[in-house]
Amino acid sequence: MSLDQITSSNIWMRLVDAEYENMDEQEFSDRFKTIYLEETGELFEGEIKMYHSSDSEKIKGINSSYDGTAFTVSYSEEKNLYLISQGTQGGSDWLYNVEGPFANEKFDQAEAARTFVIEAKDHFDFNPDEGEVISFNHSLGLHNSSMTGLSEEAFDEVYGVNGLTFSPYEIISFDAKFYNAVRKEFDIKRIEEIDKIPLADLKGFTKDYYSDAQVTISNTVSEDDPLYLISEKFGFVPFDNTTMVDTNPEVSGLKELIDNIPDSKVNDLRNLAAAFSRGNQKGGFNQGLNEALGVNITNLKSYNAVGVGAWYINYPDEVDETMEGLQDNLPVVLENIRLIEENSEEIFNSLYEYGYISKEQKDVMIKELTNLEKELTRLNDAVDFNVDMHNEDGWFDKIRRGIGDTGLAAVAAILYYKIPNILDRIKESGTLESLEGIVESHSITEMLNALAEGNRSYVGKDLVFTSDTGGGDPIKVNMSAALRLYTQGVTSLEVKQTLITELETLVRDEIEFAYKDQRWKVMHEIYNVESSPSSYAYELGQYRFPSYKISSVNVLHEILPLEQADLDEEIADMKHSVDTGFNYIENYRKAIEDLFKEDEEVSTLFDLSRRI
Amino acid sequence: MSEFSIQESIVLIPEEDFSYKKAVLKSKVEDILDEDQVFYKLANNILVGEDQKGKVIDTMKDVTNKRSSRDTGINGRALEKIPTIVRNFSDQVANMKTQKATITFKEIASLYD
Repeated sequence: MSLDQITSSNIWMRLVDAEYENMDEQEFSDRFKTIYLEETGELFEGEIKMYHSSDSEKIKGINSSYDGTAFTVSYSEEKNLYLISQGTQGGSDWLYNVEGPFANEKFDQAEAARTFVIEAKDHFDFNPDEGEVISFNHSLGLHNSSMTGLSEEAFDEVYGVNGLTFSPYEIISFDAKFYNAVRKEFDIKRIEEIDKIPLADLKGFTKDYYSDAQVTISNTVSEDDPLYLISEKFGFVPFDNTTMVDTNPEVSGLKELIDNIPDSKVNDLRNLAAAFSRGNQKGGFNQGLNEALGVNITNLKSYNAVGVGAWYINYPDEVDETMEGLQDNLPVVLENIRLIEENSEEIFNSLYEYGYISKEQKDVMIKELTNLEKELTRLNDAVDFNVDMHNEDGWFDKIRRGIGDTGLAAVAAILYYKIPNILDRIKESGTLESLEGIVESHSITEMLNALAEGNRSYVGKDLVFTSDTGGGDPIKVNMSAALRLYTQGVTSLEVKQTLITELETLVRDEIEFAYKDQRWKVMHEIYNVESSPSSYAYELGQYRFPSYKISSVNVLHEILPLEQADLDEEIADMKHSVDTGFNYIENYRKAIEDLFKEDEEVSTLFDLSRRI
Repeated sequence: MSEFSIQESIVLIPEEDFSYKKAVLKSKVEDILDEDQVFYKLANNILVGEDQKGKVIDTMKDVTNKRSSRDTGINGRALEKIPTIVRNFSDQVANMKTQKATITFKEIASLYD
């Protein structure tokens, strides 16, 4: 067992992927050991300590949405400090992608990464002379860590998967020493003059300047990763140790497609991509398109279901939201649509040629984008000509009351009929689903699968083994899930066992004992009544006989045992299920071992998994 | 005659509402049901894809499905039975609290004889 194993790509990439779950120290330690076991077949017997960036007051103070986990791993005489920096997660991260790496206006996540590594060293009292400081990253995480690594030499090694690099313009503003070197090299006096330096020259100088850095930065990138390819187009600086991997052999050429974008369109596309990215993170590809187009396509579901008239009458809020969205966004929508429409032949022909979409989908997209551009232009003209949108009795009210002029009727027709129909046809073509594959190429799972060897592959964050021993089609077994059943399944059965005991106790307390308690109360009351009847004169109805007094009471008590008030049969069945459950888990293990008779590692994995 | 006896039912203790016991018991069975879901979620993720076939696979699927469905049935039966057992309990407690008694009355004047 050695700490060197941790930097093998399948271990660290899976750790980074797992880190997105924001685990506590125990969960993280268990996950680390599980991944280590699954990938090496060995039990990790060292110690893991964890520190999350959200626990750092200084990081909170920066308020950057940076998210990272630092952990030390100790075994025998070895001890290293590792830092995982998350990639883009929420809307604020995507906004940061635009404002930071692409627009070079913000550096607070890189600042937070720099602060966090210092904080982590202090927190663990880690002496860099006695061990290595290693950084693992996905996407935006590499951007933050590499800037920190190069400017501060805070790490010995930095690893990235589909890692975003940085632009020369950005690191000039982040690294004062580099800025001074640039000023000297290109003879500039003020930072604004940097724009005058040709990008290729600045990029070359940046690479040369940092080539002597002590830190080793390695980036493993999918050939189909859209973020990396776009960043290349924007002149970001690649690292020397960049390994390109074809993670999706069924498609190709995304790079060529992006390279063919005219430089003049880069900025426009950057804004469009930023809007898409924010939406994509919020709700997937369709939401991305919503953001890019400025209209909420999902609102049109109701329209699709009930038709124009009923949509207008029954869902006025959705109609208003759509219209208000257009009121605010129409000029931008039109501009974005025109940008895509003008290039639609080239874009969709390429996407077809490279295998992302079918010929039918290509034809639909080109045709419908032309139609959409035409209708939006008409809509824009109609709105400009007819409507004072800020008037209290504006066009929403006019349309609602049906008193609009013919121009307004045209607006309504375009909104309620023509545009939804165009969007319907785009949706029905399935193009959007086909394009989901592009985003998938930014994921860690696709990379792990591309790098996997032998009978191994990955589903989500889990390791999968494939067996050919069945004689028919290969059988895929999720080994991570099988080990979870083998370990957590037993825990789950034990929890169930406890719950059944608690149920048994509850039934006894609430029914059986409660009945005995009630019986005791009744017997006690009988004794009271019989021994002191005069005390119960009113309750016993003495007032009915004014000249008489109660002299004695004899209760002819009949108290039967409690009947038909138990869960004995069900509880017995539950207990039986737990008992056989342990066998079921063992049988499942045997069945999987049978599928992988040749692979002794499978038995070892089961044996060792319970020692984590 | 200075005394006489009557026989009638007397309420020894007022009735109580025990319906809250249903929720107490049901809640525990629901915890068991939730734990079963945790267990079968672990089991159901093992075979990748729904359409895998083969002797071993079919057996695993079959055993898992049967177990899962039997556990669901047991929990369902328990949940269905709880209102009945609480009602039976309440009825039997109510019956116990009302008993037949022989009450003997004596004329007040005769008490001073």
